[in-house]
Amino acid sequence: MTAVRRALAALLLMACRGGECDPGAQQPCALRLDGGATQRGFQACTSTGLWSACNAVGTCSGAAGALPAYSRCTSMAQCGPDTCAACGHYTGVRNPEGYEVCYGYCQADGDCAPTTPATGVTPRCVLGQCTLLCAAGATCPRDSRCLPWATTELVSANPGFEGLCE
Amino acid sequence: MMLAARRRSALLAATLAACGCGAKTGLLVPDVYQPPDGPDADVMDVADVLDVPEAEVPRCRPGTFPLTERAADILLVLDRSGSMNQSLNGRGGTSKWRLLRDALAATLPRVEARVRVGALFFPEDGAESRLAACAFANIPSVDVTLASGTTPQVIGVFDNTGTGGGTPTAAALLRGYTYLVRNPDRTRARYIVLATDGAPNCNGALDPSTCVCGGPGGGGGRGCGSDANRCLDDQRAVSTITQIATNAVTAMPVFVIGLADHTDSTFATTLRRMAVAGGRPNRATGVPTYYDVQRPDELTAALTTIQNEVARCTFVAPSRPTNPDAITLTVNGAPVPRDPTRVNGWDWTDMGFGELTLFGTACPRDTATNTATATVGCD
Repeated sequence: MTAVRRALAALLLMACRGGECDPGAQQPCALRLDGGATQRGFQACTSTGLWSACNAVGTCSGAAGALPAYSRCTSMAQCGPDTCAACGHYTGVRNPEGYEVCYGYCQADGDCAPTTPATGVTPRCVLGQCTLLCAAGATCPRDSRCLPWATTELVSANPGFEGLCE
Repeated sequence: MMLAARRRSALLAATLAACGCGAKTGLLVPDVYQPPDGPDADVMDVADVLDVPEAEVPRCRPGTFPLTERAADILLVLDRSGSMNQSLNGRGGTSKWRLLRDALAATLPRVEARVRVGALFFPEDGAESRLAACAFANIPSVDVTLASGTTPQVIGVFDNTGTGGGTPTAAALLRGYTYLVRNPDRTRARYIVLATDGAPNCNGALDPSTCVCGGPGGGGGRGCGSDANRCLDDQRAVSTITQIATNAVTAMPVFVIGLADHTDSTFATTLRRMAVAGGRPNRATGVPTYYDVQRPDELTAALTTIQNEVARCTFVAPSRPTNPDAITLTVNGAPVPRDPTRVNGWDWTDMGFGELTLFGTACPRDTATNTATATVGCD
């Protein structure tokens, strides 16, 4: 076995056992949810050289009873386990009725794709939270609607999009 | 050593990618979505039972209503870097770290009467090694979690850890924000209060030969030798605060308290820009836009002002008009105009929750409790 292979094997063992790590490094991990479903996530290496807890990313698959992403909700419990999604409203759209939707957590835009039909929408991961930009004539997932931007700054910052699905 | 560390990191990343300890997503997202086959379809079927009845959604109701103060959370993001061990303006005496500790010990018990407080210190404890000096992962973890009566825990971190390492301000703010959004509480307004000496660094992507040196001993001069992590990282710090304060998903105001060295204008300039970006600058006349602290009593005054704005001048309207201007406000019996510039007057700060905030002179400082009423019209 070459030195490189030995090093790779040692690192593999170290990383997968949750041993020492280089501060700043990240690695994927998985969470097991109540009911047996799993959710992918990531963990980061802290300054003490230990891996952090696993932090969920993306929507949960198979979480029993949970509303799909971007469905309207009125309580956190409707969105499934805490790691799966939050029930909340977006602060950047005009939403006088106070509609709320289930939205998940993310690292990249690809984590935020809706799981139910929608047209004219573009998933975005905004500071770790999923949302759907909606264009004119868009059909938002489930019972959510395309709500207009709340400020002119957001209109300018998001050309081609009317607002967010909420 | 750094090169070896980078090689180790690269090797680790390659190893992990190969071993598949978890899954990675690189989904290409089409413009039109179709429901996937399999388990997700089952989830959708179950969820149909939980659909929200339309009748439960609150509607605009015309009339005059008393407003209630909105409960608030403050996450303190506190600078523990090596430069905080120095005294203000190099005059000797009490360190900025000790100054911050003593002022928080005196002020937090009063703040806690109205708001929950948590704290995140940066860099991480034990960040003395060169490799760890700037490491600050974006994970939802803080030193003191949000709760009532956390003063002993916050002060305990001061007493049990010391200063050292770099100033990863942008990364710390992101971590604090991530903690807040991953621990949501729909009933409470969330605020971040950053206290720092104004020398953010720890950006390995900067060019150390041309940057402004912002690390300990850098003195704001040009060039940091070969160490990019000592470069002043003002652009990223300001950009991060702007994103936190203005993003469309969960905007969160950032107050900036500066323990700035007045002998170096670079740091004060950075603090001013950060304070404006955070959306809640100090509006008092004749002072910087950040809450400038040179003495313990100034820190106490800054925290009191912030507490007033957060806890005594942020209200929830029980009825939200469809037209954001179809509402008039009185505070303690006097009419208050809407001011979207947020200098003097009220403005919607989270209309989806019916939250509005009084700014500047509209936020009375000399009353223990403000009484606010709103008259709402509906189209």
